[in-house]
Amino acid sequence: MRSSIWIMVLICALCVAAPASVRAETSNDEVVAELREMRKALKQQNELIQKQQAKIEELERKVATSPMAQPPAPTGTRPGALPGQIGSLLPEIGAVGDIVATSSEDDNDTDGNDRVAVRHVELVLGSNVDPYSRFDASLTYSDFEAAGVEEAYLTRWGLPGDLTARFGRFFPKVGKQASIHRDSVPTVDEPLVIRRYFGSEGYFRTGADLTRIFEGPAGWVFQPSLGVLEGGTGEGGTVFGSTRRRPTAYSHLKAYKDLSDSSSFELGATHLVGSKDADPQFEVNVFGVDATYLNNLTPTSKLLLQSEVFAQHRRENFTVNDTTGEETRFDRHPWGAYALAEYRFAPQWAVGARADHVKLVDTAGPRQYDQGLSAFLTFYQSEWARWRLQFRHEERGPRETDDSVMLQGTFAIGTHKHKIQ
Amino acid sequence: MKNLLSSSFRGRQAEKSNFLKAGFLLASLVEMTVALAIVMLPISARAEEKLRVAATLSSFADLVKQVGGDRVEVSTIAPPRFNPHFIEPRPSDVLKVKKADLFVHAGLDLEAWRGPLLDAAGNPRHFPNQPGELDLSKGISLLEVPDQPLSRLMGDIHLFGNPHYWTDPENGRIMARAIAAKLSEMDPAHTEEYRKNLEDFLGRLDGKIAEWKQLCSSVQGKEVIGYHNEWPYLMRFTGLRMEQFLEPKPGVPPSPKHIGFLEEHMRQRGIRVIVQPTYFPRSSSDVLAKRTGAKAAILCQNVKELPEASDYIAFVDYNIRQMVQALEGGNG
Repeated sequence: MRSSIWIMVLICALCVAAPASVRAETSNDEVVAELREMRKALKQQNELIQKQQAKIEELERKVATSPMAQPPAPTGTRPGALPGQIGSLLPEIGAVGDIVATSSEDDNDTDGNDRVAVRHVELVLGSNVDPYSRFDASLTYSDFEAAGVEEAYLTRWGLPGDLTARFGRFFPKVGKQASIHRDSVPTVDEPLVIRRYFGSEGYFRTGADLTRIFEGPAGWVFQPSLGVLEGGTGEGGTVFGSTRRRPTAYSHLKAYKDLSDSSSFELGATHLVGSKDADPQFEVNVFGVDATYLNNLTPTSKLLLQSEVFAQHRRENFTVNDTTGEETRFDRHPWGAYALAEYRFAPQWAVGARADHVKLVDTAGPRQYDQGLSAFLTFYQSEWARWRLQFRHEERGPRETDDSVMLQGTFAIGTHKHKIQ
Repeated sequence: MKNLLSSSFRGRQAEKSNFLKAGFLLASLVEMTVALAIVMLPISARAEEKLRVAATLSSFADLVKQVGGDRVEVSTIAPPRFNPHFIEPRPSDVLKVKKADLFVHAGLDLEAWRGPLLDAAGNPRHFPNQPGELDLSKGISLLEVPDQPLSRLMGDIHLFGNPHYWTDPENGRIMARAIAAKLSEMDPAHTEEYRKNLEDFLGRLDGKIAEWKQLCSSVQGKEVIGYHNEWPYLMRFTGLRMEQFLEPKPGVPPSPKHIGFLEEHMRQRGIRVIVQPTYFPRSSSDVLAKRTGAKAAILCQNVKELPEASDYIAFVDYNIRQMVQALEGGNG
């Protein structure tokens, strides 16, 4: 009985197994059909995806080409985007060192003769005050004088008539080389006419001025300036007296023209009227003309030709010392000029020469004029370090001469921007 | 006696100087009058309704022209054949910026002269983040953003990342879109015109990008030597590598010692091309090329730097073809 049961189970199993193999054949066909269906579906899906992709690309392109599309978020740290935006509020800070070694025939133990001197260290600060104005200051330290404020002025833009105003202590636009910082002067020393008339560091006074720039005919650019300044001059200057009470008025007209994309010509006229001292009869008129030709011959070489003439009309002949009775005579129409050429012949090298002549204001003695010739060679170590060697021959009147050799190192750290001249 | 002499001296002097005095006074008077008159002249009215755009670089000026078409009047500050880092803006440039409705610039610290230029122009609309300025670096994925404290011991380093991003045509797309958005914002009446010009430009650029990619496929991965580190964006686009430069440090001129190092480096790696910009002196790359037998590929940084780079697409095309030709020739 038990064996018959097992036989029955076996038969049943066989019965089940036999149709299964038949079904397997059937199922293979179904699988193939199913695969075909799936392949078809996949193809349809692919086609759909491709269509959708094309649609996405089209939409993306529409969005991208829409002028209102905003660029993607920027990456990297941006100017003024330091943590907490602290950087945005800090002023630009820089320092310039001007160290000069001089070997001179001059017997005077002054002006750094036969020594290495820190002629000038300038701490420069500047920043926008608000949307309408900017404040700049230069604090100077030197071996030859006490610490001082060379510049401290507010620039106010956007005034009626497109005017720009300055208020405070600044370099007024008097000629070319009297109105720039020492580190921008192409020689170790300023031209004689600047040193003798306006002071050894150029002409910077406290006051206010107005400037406007506009286009003239034939591509000329004009920039007139008018200002009122405190009286007096810089250190060693003789054009005005030492009193600051009677103000000096100045005007300047710059006419500029591009000759090509690399060369330009500039002509300037300056007029100053001030006083030698507090007595109103001692009026001094100064009239100046400057001319500059600049040619950036190649991206790494350039030629600068520059000349300035200043002439005075002084309302005085002499002064008499009340105590000693000593008389000092004055030239009523002293004048002075220089001519300078500088050629930057390689990215790091420049050579140049300057000729000076100036009639002195104080002509009591035999020394009526000073004149000189200088030659200089400049090596630009990098963008922030410069070395300059200058030979200078000066004649101080008919008898006294002085030959000097000067080596100047000028170094800048921090933010240092030159104003556009 | 003294007074008599003095009076006599004064009299003679006064007589001699009458003419001079009159001349001086007249000259002073005229000069003062002219200066006063021109300072007080009214601002001239705008003759045209075109948007006036001042762009710092010729590449930006060309992109503005491509998008703005006849609706814009574009001027460039930096002459294209000069190194854009070291431009000395002129009074005529000050005037361009002062008169412009829109000031377009590279942002970052590429144009060290930009601040003094804006100060001299004195137009507050062009100051950072004001309505009349467009900083094209916004939206650009910057490369070489410093990840360590910076010092000038490293040379003329860029504080915010490498600013020469316009050399990559992929960035040309971003810049063109930003320009179109800005022009539309300032001149909404002509938005459709700007959009159409942009579409046209991007269509042409996209076509060329595909062509350039194909062209560069044969030279991908190869290394070249640069002069100044101003090509990382173009290197990324072309798939080339530039790891060493003739400048030992950015802004520091090549030295004999460094050229010796490069000579060895090129021999070891089999580098056959030196990328030479037009505005740097060629002497150092000539020496290096002579010693190693490498070729110099003269590339442009900006549109119109060479006649072949007449517009933005031509400028990129010229650079890529110069490099590929030098590499294929150099390896051949």
